[in-house]
Amino acid sequence: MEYIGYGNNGQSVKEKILGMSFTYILLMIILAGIGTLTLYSGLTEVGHLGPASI
Amino acid sequence: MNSSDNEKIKVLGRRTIFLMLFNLAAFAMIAARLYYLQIYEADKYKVMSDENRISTRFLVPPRGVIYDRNGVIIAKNDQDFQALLIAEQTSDVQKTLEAFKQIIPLSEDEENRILKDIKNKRRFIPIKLKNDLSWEEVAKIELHAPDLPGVEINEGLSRIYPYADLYAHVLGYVGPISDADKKDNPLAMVPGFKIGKAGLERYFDYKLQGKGGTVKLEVNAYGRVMKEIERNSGIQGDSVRVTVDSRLQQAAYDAFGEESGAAVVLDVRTGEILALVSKPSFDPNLFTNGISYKHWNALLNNERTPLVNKAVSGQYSPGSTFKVVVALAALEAGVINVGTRFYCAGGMDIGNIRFHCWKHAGHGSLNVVEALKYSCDIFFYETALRVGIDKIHDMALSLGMGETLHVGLDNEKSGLIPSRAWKKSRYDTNWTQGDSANSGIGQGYVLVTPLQLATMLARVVNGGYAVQPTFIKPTDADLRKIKRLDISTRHIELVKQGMFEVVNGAGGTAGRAKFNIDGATMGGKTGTTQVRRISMKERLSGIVRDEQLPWKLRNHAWFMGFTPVDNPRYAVAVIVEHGSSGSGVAAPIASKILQKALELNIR
Amino acid sequence: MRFGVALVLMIFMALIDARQYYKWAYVFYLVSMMLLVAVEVFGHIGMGAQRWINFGLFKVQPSELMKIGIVLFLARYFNAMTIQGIRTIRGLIIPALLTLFPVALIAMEPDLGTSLMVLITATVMVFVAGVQWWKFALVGAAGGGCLPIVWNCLHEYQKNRVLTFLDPERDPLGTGYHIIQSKIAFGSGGIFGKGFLHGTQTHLNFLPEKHTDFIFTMFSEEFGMLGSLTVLALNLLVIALGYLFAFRTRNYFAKLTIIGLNTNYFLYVFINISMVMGLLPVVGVPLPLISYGGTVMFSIMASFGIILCMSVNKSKMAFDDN
Repeated sequence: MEYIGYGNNGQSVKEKILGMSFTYILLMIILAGIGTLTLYSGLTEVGHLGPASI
Repeated sequence: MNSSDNEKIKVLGRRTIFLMLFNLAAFAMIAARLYYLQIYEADKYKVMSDENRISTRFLVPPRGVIYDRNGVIIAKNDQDFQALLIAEQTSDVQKTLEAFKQIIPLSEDEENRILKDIKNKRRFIPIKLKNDLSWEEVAKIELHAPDLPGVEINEGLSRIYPYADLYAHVLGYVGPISDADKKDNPLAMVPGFKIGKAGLERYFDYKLQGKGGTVKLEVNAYGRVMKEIERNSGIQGDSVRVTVDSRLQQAAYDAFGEESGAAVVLDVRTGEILALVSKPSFDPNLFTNGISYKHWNALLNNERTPLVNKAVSGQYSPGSTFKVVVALAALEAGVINVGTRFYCAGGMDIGNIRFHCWKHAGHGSLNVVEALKYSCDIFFYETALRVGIDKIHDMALSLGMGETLHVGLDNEKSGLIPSRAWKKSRYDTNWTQGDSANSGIGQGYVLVTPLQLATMLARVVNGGYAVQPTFIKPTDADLRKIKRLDISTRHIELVKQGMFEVVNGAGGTAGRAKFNIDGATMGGKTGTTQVRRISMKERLSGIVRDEQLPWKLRNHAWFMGFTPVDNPRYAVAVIVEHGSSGSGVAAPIASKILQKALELNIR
Repeated sequence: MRFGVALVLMIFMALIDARQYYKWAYVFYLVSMMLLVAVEVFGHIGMGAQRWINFGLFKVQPSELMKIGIVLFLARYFNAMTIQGIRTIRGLIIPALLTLFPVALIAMEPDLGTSLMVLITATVMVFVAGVQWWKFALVGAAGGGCLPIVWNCLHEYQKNRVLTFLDPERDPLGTGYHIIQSKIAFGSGGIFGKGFLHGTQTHLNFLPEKHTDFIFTMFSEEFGMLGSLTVLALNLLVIALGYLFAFRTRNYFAKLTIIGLNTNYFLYVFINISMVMGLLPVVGVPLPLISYGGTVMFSIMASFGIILCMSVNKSKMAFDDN
């Protein structure tokens, strides 16, 4: 039973959160941001002209 | 903690460092690959990327305009409105097509073609519904636009001949390029590109075509056009100014009325072709977008051959008009002179064949001027026999007969001036006295085109200068290069006097056609050539009057004329096919044309 | 936003007591395995391959669970063994069997990419656990010998992918088209790229699957080599941090779990980027965090959560089978 629950590995939740690497999380957010940006570009349809008048 | 755990952790540490190095190497490889693709091979891929996305299409340049000598447009390009259908822009193609048919009727052929196109072409490619829409039709389509989703109006250029039939045989026409011509012209693949198919349109085609433009379009992977990147409109074809005068051309055309035939009017001093008419004619506008079978067959099967340019392709016996050539040859050869007289009794025997004068009773005694005036056959039989075919042949050739003159029209024929050598090689028989006699009155083997006859007359009446007929105004330098033929002025004056008498003398064969405008009068020579052979039996029983024969069997009527007689400027040759009589039919036409030329004072 | 949900999932995973992972490692592996079997039996048809189990509210891809499951299983398994035990053949029998079985199942789905990733992840873990070099050499040689047999078992489209990878010009309008167009996109991007929204290869649809597997191509076309190197560097940093966590934690299970999950992430990035650049056959592995596609995003964020969780646990406490 001692394993159930959060942060009771000798650490409180607050301790755990503060112990996390924020650089790590930030990197993920940046990468996901790049992904969203790229997806946006991929989903944007460039408008096309009507039929070519030859 | 035991030593085993420590050992485990140490091994793990070592192996992890190794793993990290491996990961680093993998990333280095990816970076190297990026360098290779994006820097080392970038140029190659940039080209490939552009090849992917850019589609270059050729633009048809506007064709050069053709002007007459006064700057009047006789061939131009007009806006041509087409209705197009883009299948993907309508939810129901059939419904749109039905609605369109309510507004602009479509023939069954057109409808079948449209349905075929809809089936075969990709949905975003415009399909031609109808060409050559009038303003009213365009307006109607615009008005009904809400009912016609996917229908668009497109502007193109189409060749227009404002004078329609008038210039058909001079200008020819344009048409879609045929597979045989497609070889090396990059424009050939462009729909809507037209080339000159006949006449001056073909002769000057290179000049008139211009330089094709290009348009660079960005297309997506499915070939749909996204946007226009670059446009180079090309260069309009050079315009061409020809020597014909539309007013004279019209007068010559109208002068024929319902008759078939041809007329060529030359400026005798320069050789410029002022008018060239072949009747009947056709409307070259019909050919621009491809002529229908119905029209084509009607033209092809017409017994009066509207498609043949009789002025340059029609070869006819010159008949009595050739007597001018024979007279000059004889005078130059010295076998006759101004005082030489022959007696016409209405007929003569050459070898064992009887040769007749057109006038049964005979003309009595006459000199060369009188012989021309009355067009006596006996005089010229006699003359031809004395001068011989060789001299006649040489004279005819130097006056522009027997060879093509290269004015640039299709199927220009060389005519035929017979010689001993020609007969030998053609029939393997020797030249006879009878052949010479026949040639003396422009019958037998002799054939000329109206253009050649006009050229001959121009060369004679201008004092013996070998002018070259042309559609392009010669420069002064060109004119200085014109050779003087070796014909004495005295003899030329004699022949001209004869031709003056033909029209103006009492009893001249073309007396009815004479005119006098401010002292300018016409000289000329009639000619009537048999289309059928008159048998001895018929001659005995009385020759059937020409007017009573079917059209096809009637004689051809010639007249060649020039004006003013004192200082000639214009020469005309007129042939009226099956016109029966040179004096009765051809001379009045020539007279009208020359009067018009004088009135217009073309220079 | 999908990423936000995934971020919450990551924090949640990170906050779970590290010992829970140890405790439930085998169970998690077993559940993943059962779902894999289930997908094989009742799996829904998706993308021509049986990969999904539909739980109504959400769909689960058991092969994604297995990527984590195999790591937890091996980490716990090796944690309990001595180094001497690890170096015996007998000690390798169970991990070998329990790796090859799910690998085979996933390959049968068929999902060759994921199956290879699970196999390689497991191999890397066995490697860092300290199994001798010669054993890898032996297995490598044996594997090389079996290659022709494996080749015959591949599906036609998988064979085509490999053949096309070896020679993209073989079929420039068919299977080779993707690779050629992708390389053109990279190459024409150049150093600085064509600019945001100006990638002609992608916007004019010359490049297929631009939202998923080929998203890095699209990015690289628009942002050039500088952009690509930036993304590469960021990913390298993520991986490097992972190793840093592995070194900092003093617990064997935690170290091995981090290395396993980190390797999994590395494989995603490496395989995806290599395949779109024509360095590897197109095996259908997305670029995590960047490609469009939910399951991978969730599984990768979950594994980041576990990595974070393990990294926070700096105490040198031992996990026992009590």
